[in-house]
Amino acid sequence: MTAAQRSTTRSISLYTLLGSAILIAFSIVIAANLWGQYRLTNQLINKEITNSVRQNHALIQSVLNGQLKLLGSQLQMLSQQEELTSLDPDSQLHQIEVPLKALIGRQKQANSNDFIMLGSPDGQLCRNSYQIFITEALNCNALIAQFDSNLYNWHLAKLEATDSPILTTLTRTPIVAQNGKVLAYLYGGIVLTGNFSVINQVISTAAKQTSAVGIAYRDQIIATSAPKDSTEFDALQQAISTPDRLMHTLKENLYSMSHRVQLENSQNYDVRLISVIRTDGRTELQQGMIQQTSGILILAIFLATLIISLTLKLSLTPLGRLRNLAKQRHSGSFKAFNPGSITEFKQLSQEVANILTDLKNTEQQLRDNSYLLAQSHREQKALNSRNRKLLHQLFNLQEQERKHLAQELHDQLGQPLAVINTDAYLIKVDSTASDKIISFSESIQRNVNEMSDVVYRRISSLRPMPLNDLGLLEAVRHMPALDNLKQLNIGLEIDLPPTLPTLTEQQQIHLFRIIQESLTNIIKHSQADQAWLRIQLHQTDFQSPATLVLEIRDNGIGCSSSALEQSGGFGINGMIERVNSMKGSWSLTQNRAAGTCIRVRLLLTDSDNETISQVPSAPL
Amino acid sequence: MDSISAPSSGQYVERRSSRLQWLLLLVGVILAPALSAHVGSDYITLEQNTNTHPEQASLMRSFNAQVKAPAKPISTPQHKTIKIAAVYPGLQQSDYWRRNIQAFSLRLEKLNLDYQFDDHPLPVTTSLEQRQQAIDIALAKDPDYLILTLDDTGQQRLIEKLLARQRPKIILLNITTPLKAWASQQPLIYVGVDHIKGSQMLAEHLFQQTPNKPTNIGVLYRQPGYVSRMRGGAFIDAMQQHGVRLNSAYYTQADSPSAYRATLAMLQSDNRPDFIYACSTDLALGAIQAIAEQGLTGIIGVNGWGGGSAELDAIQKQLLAITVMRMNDDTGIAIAEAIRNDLSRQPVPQIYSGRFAIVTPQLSSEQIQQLSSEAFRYSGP
Repeated sequence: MTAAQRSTTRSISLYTLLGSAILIAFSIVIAANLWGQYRLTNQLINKEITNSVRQNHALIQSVLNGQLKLLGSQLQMLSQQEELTSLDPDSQLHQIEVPLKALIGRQKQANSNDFIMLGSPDGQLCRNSYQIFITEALNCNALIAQFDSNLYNWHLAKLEATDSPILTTLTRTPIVAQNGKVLAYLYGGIVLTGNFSVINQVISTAAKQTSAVGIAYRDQIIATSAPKDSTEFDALQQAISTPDRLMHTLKENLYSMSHRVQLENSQNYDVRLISVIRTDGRTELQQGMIQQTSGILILAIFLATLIISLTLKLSLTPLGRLRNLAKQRHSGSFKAFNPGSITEFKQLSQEVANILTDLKNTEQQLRDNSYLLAQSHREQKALNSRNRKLLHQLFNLQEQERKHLAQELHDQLGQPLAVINTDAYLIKVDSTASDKIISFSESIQRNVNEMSDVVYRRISSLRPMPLNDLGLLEAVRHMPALDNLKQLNIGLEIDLPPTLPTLTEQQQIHLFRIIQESLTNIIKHSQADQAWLRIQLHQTDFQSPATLVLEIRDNGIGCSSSALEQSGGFGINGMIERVNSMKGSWSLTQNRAAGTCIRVRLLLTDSDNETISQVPSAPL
Repeated sequence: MDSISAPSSGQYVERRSSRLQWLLLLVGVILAPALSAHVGSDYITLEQNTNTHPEQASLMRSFNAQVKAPAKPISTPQHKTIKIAAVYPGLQQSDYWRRNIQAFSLRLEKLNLDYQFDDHPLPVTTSLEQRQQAIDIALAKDPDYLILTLDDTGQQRLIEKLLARQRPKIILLNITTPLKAWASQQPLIYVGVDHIKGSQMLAEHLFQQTPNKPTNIGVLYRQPGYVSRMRGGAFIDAMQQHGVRLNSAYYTQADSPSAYRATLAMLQSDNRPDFIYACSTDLALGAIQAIAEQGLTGIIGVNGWGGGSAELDAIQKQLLAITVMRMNDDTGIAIAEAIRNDLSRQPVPQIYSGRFAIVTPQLSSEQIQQLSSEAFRYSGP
């Protein structure tokens, strides 16, 4: 089994790793969820505690309401006793008090009021008729003065005592005489300060975890089940300062909360009930959940670290190998690449291998093509060279043919024409000749002269005669094209040096043909009315070789290269090849505003092999 | 709760009217916050109600406008005749109930409602058992709506049972403070005027506007109950704040004869009050009679409560020193509009609290007439 095969069997998909990561993430989520649940449970416990407090609150509210209702109805029953209602409507308080005290004495067992007072309808007079649990003598006037509204049944009143004020509830009911007159008001109530009866009723039926309850008036606890020096008492005190908020005392895991208690049919809101709840189970729950959450989190983090390390190792190792392979791509050792255990890397390596194989094939193809291209280029170059040679041969042959043709024309046609002209002249000067004959002979002479001119121009154009005899400068000055320019009213300024260095026959012919071709182009295509022909020699000193500059320029519209090529002969290409054969340089500039300018630079050296610059070969 | 001003006739009256308007407005503004904080905890005040249910404020505003506006016939098709019953203490000298029922019926007709009305007016002294019997008779016809009032705890129990049955729908008249005990199952609407506000308006006007301010007062309660407590308690509280002494107080049978007797007793005592506060029209009329017989008319002042025809008549004869006048027919119209909204599945506010105006003999007959036209716009003169 090869390493690659082994790696295939141990293949692990990244998705597997991803799955593991998800698993770990899931564990973390579970842990977080557990933590969330802990918090939720905590909130629920808080809610439960709050509910317990509310339950206690409702309970004490109910107990208080019940007590007050009982007090009120007992007071009302007392006020409706016949002994009182049958009194004379004009009875004074002390007269009413007599039967009242007798009634209280009789009904003592059924009376829940801690005190009963008698007050006049206008509240000015009062009598303290009964009191229990109150050591101080009641100041009925002070208490009745605190009954400040007729709209409410119940009031809170403070009874000034030696130690500290005592808080009482206070209600009243009218004693109505039989004629409807309110004889007096019967006031009654219970003392809330230190009222363990109410506190014990609440404690006995309060929520199980209730540790203590207390009644507070404003910021003072007036009755509580908690001893003064206990933690519960501290918790009660703490809750007074922050009403309606659940307070936690860490010391003994106590929670306390205070709520307003409203006396039924009262507008006083200063009484508050405080409940203290002990929650031992909460601590256990808290510890247990923290341990579980921590355990799951640690395990999840450990597993996550392990799998992440493995994933990184499995992921990065083949990548490193791949990088090394990329560095050594020319070594051809790709088949030795071990992609490792990751399925995706195996697939990736296969893809990379395919790409590299394709690249190699392409590289080979490119190399072959490059070789073929180079070969083709060489062949093309050789072909061009051969063509150029052939062209030069063609030029030579053309010139020889022209020369031969000019010679033939001169010899075969020039002589007879000269003879005919002479004969015509002799006929004309013969005295015997009639006028008619003389006229004919003159006509013959004119035609012969015209023919001679034509033949001469043809000969000159085929082979400029002065070129052989007088050199390039004279040949240019007698160039037949000059006549054509003149006939077409195209001005020509000729600027030639007085002499030229000795040029080879080939150079003279090429320069002559270039000038001839250029002038022909001006005539045919330029639409110019002025042309310039200039040959200049530049030589810095006598030691250095001279440079011949030929410039033919016009002020025409310029002409397209296709037109130049179609001008006859070999056109521009022919001119370029001629310059090329002389190893000279060439430039052509043309535009509609400035016309066309052809400039040829030729370095005149002793050896024709030396060149000034390389001229680009024109396509043939 | 709106207060309305007396109408004007002539420049002098206009000046007085604008003063009165200013006074009423001032009284309303001063008392409005105070009132809300001084109601027994059995009941939810208007302000507490709108604080707890903010949507009620806008609902009440639009409903008030609906009550003031002319009737718009119902557009919802009515598949059957609606049956409405009313059991109320209508057999009394005060025409408050009679006029309300009249306005209610007329408004129903103008709303094009097909209805059948089962009317059970009872004497004001009717016992709880008799009221129970009357309600049973009304319920035997299976009404869709039942109009009741609430004055004592005994009747509260009766209404609780009806609310628990959820049929018929209960409409409470002459009470504007929802009961806390019914928080989850309230009647369709509480309709009436605010007793505390009316009483405090009376007290403030007496103390601020009357040249001969009372110094000691006698109070004529109805039977012990909600109305006596609210009207009597609020008035005594307000007067005591001004240092006025409560001379004597009498509970009555809520009728004129018992009030007459109580007043006579007050007047014949050594310590005679200089103003008698009557918690209702019938009591005021009884007091007037007693005062007149004793030749003390104009010397001992008596108030009216509600501003019904009898009271206005007594005001014009200067037998009453003052009254707080309800825009009487508005409450009857409000009941009709509440039924209309309920039938057409439109929202019904929990409370409709009617408007007041203070009426004194100083107002011209034209002004009183104009107020009457407004208050009795359906039930007529």
